[in-house]
Parts: sequence; C-alpha cells; structure tokens
Amino acid sequence: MMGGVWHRDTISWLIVAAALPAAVAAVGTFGPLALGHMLLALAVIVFWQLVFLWSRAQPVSPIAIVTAIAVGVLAPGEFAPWQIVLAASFGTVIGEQVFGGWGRNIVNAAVAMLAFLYFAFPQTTIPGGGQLLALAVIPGALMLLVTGVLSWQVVLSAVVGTITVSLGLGENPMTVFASGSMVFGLVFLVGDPVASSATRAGRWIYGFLAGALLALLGWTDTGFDGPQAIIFACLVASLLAPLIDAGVIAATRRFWRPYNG
Amino acid sequence: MKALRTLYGPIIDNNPVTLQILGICSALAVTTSLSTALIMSVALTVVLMAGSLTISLIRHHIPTSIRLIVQITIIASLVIVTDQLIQAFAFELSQRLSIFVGLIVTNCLVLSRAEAFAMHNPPGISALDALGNGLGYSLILMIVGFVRELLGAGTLFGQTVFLSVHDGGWFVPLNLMLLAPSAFFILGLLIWVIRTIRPAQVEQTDFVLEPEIGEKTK
Repeated sequence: MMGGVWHRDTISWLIVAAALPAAVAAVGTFGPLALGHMLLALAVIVFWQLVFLWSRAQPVSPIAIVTAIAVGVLAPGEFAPWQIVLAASFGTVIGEQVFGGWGRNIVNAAVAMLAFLYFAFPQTTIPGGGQLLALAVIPGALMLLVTGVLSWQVVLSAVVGTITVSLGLGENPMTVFASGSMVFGLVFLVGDPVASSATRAGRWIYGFLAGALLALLGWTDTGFDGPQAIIFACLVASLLAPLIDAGVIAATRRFWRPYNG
Repeated sequence: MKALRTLYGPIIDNNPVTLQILGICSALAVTTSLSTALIMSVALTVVLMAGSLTISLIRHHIPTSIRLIVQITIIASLVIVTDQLIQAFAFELSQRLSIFVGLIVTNCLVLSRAEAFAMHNPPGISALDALGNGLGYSLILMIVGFVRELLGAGTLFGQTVFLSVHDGGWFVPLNLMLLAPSAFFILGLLIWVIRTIRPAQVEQTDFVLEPEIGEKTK
C-alpha cells in the first residue's frame, strides 16, 4: 500500500495531464517539427532515467513527459537531432539526475535543457507560440491551481511583476500574455513546484522576480523577444529561490523571537 | 620515496584544482584555447616553484607577524618578471591572456603552498611540492582547454582538427564551450569521474534525507 494518494508521482502525473492540451496545441501551431523534438527528447530523458535507475537506484519519473513537451513548445526551431540529443542529455543529467532525480533538483530540467540549446546554438531562430497555445495552457493551469500543485501566489505575483515592469518600460503588457510560449513557461517552468520557492512570502518574492525579469529581458527595441526571455528569467529566479526561502525563514525567526523567548 | 610522493601526490590524489578547488578563476578564464592554457600553466608552475624555493630558503628569517606580506611581495615580484618575459617573447599570447598572468599573485594556490608547505619545509622538498602542484594545476588546465578548444572551435593549438561548416566541413562549433559556464561543467564532470575512481576523495555527507513517504510505509 502506498502512503496515501499524494505520492511523488501523483503530482508528476497531474502535471503531465495539465501539459497535454498545450502539447497538442504546440504540435498544431508548429507542425511535426515540435512533435519530433518532443519524442526525441522523451527518448533521451527516459534513457538517462534508466541509466540512473540502474546505477544509483533512482526511481524514474513521468515528469520526463512534461520536460519533453517543454522542449517541443519552447524550442520549435530548426535544430538538428544531435543538438536535441545533446541538450536533452545535458539538461536531464546536470539539471536533475545528479541531484537525485525529480523532486531534489535546483533548476527545472527543461530550463537547463533549453538554456543549453539557446546558448550553444544561438543561430537558430525560435518562433513564439500564438494565442491558441496560450488558451490551451489555461485549462491545465486551472486544474493545477485547484489541486494546489501550482501555487497561485507565484502565478499572481509573476503576472504583477511582468505588468509592472512592462508598464515601467512603456510597453503593452498584453503582448506578453498573448504569446503562448510565455504563458506555457509561466505555468510549467516558473510555477514548477520543485524549483520555485516554498515559503509563503518567498513565493510572492520569487514570482515577482521571475515576472519582472521576464519583462526586463524580453522587451527589445523591435518588440517582445520570444522564448529566450522566459528561460533565462526562470533560470535566474529558480537559482535564487533557495536564497529567498532562507531569507524568509531567517526573517520569520527574528520576528517571532521576542514572543517565543 | 617521500620526496617522490611529495611530487606526484598533488597531481591526482591531492590535486589543487579538483580536490582543493583552488585556482578556479584562472582555470575558467584562460582555457578557451590550448595555447593560452599552456602559457598560463607554465607561468604558474614557474612562479610557484621559484616562490616556494625562495620562501623556503628564508623561512627562518621571516617574522611571523608579517609573513603574508613578505610572501606576497616575493610572489608579486616573480609574477612581474614572468609577465614581462611573456610580453617580450610571446606578445600576441600575452595580449590574449590579458590580466590573468598578473593575477597569479592573487591565485590562492600559490599562497597556500607558500603558507602551508614552504614555510615549514626545507627548500628541496618545497620545490618538489611546488612542482607537483604546478603540474596538477597544469594537467587540469590542459584537459579543460583540450575539450573547450576542440568542441568550441574544432582546433587544437590553433591547428584545424575538425573543419567547421563555415569552411565547408561538417563540424558545428559549440559556442557554449567558449563561454565560462562550460569550464564549470567540464570541471564538475572531471571531479565526478575522479571521485568515482577514487572514492577516498568524496567528502562526508552534510545530512541524510529521510526515505520517501511511499517507501517508508511499504
């Protein structure tokens, strides 16, 4: 008998279910290229999960499907298969498996993967998804919000952060939310329950930071610059997440010390 | 026998870069090509040896309270001489190395060998220890430089090994390899390999995680 319904893989299956409509919409928007990238990335990730299962007895996780979908949604450019294989290997091994598998990682494996792709092969242009993709993310996001997997504080503060900085720069924030890649990244990468902050106040700070960085990195002279912005914003924010949590815990302790004696 | 161990100990067993994690800054900065990595390795090894030898020779005459100042003065003088020599005989390379030869002064590796070893040991063995540490540092720099130049530009010592797509070949250069993070990744993987082969280098774990909920109640 498992320890209740809320097992680690219950959460990952929920995230998988939430990401499926977005995957279908991405394949519809970007064509078979995105599907090819997803399947290839999935095969590579499963391979590495099995290697670590065999060598370190680390349990495999269905989160591989979400990571693969993220690669298809946020990297639908003309990447050669070996480039996807390299990036997926890097992301899943360095971003996730060396830390002990999903749930113990510091950054989301998909973020590590995509950051590698963007840095290593900057020549490839990456189209951002349109409103169809954005709409397809909404039902999954609602489901995750209701089940509590996705923290509403993170989503709300990220949206506030993006709007604040966009308005500060004199741009229209609605452009960001009409872009499917941004909405997908906001829900599944920034809102990733593992890599984001865990304390209540920390979530507000983390989400605001991610949203502000997204707007700051994304707005260029020629308009809003696609998926790179969300990946790098998420990378920086999730690296700072443990620090934010530690700060919040220290501040809370200091606040309550006079009362607790 | 002990002298020999002092020499080869720091090369893998007690490597200054992969075990003591010293000298990382220069290991990141100069390893985009093998020729700069080689010059840097030679410069550091020479400075390290000459510095350790000098400090060991006068170790009984250095007042304890100002020993760090004396050590840094000696090391800095040696670094300036080395830097001038490189500028005189390899000007183009010295331009590419920019300030990193000068920064050997602040390299923790040099000071740590002077402070931890040369201050307490006779000159001969101090020089051997410095040589061993210099070679250990050089070995890591050459490995990182080899991987970064080969995958980042398709060349070794500036000679084309893989013809890149721009020149009609098949090789697609990995731009990531020319950026600083890649040196971190290569160093990390290297440390992983070394500690897998020699588990004695693995640090004690800071804490142990509880078994997962599902496993506990099974």
